[in-house]
Amino acid sequence: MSRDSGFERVRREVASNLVPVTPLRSPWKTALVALPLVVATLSLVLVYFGLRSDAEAIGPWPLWGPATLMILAAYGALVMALAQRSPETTVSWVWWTALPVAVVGLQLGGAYWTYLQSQPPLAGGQSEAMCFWRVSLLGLPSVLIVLWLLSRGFPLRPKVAALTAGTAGGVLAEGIYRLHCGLSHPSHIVTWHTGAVLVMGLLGLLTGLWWERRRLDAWPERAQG
Amino acid sequence: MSSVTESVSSQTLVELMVAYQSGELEAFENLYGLLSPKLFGYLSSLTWDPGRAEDLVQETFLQIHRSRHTYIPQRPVQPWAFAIARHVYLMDRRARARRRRIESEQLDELVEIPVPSFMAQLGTRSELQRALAGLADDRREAVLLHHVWGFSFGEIGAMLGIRAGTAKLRAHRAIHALRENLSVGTATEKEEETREPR
Repeated sequence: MSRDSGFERVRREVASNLVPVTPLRSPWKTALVALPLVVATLSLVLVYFGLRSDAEAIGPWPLWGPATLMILAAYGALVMALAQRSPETTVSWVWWTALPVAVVGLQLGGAYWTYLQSQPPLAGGQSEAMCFWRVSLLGLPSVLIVLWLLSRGFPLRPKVAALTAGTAGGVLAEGIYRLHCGLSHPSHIVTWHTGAVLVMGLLGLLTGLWWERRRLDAWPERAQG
Repeated sequence: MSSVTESVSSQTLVELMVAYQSGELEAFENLYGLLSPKLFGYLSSLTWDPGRAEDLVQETFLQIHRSRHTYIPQRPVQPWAFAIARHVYLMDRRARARRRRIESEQLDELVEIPVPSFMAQLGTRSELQRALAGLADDRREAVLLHHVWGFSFGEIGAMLGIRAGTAKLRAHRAIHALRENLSVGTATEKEEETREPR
């Protein structure tokens, strides 16, 4: 196929579907979608579950400080995920490494801080596992919304973008739910809270893998010669 | 497309891209004229195949069209377009690899066809020569190397610079074609023999 005929073919296809489009907003602005999500989740946790029973003994800083930092970390992760909607945007490995380190650091650091103030005994069994399910369910709407926002763009590495989106949703839910959970023992935190964040990340990763496979399946034969 | 100046300013590309996003076909045409030589050079360096690179340039522009909303105005256009071109190249490579893998799996499932006994009897006959001559060169080569000279498909692949599976497929198709040609030929001969003389 000559260059000119190739151009004509592309031109015809473009001309047949040339409608004005609205460019994507910057990831910083789009990530502000987290704001209503935070308000909704926070309202749900405070109204339905309530603050942890030893909130007064712990004091405001150990209670609200880690939660606020985790919400900010979730916002950063959301920006990282949404930045990948535009093909040329990549996020450096420094940030990829910083994200899990920051999340686990904030979780364990915050838990240890509250653990120093109050040491309720571990509840064990199903009662502890409840935290896992609640964090997962609270994070699910955020994950779905961010995945939908990602699908509106053109991430070149969907599995990485979706993994970040899943982790961001999990961190957001975990940061808020920590206001309710009265258990600060590291074994509980790592098993049921970090576990829930990891599952959210895994959910994102699986979605991204499915997305990549779907994209490959839909890859036009014409491009393969 | 040949009147492309290398010294196109990035601001011009940004303006064209913004106009293209707002639905101007002329902006797309100009953008194509400015970007396609660069994308062609880039994709040629990846593929080492000008024909394939040309196909990929077109696919890149179609992909650019589908994802034109992901260009954020005022950012440089070229990194965005090159990122899409690289993605198109990688997707093409993956799709080709997958297609080859599927073909290879299908080939492995093919049953080795035994050389029909009648072929030995027909070996000196002109029908066989004619049937062989009627085969495509690559198929004839494969079937002769395997069934006549006894090379394995791995060896044939190494000789011809093709994969063993491809050699097997060629020989497989050649045997089918020979069988069909010879049975048709034999049937015609018998028909002529049984026909009443005038």
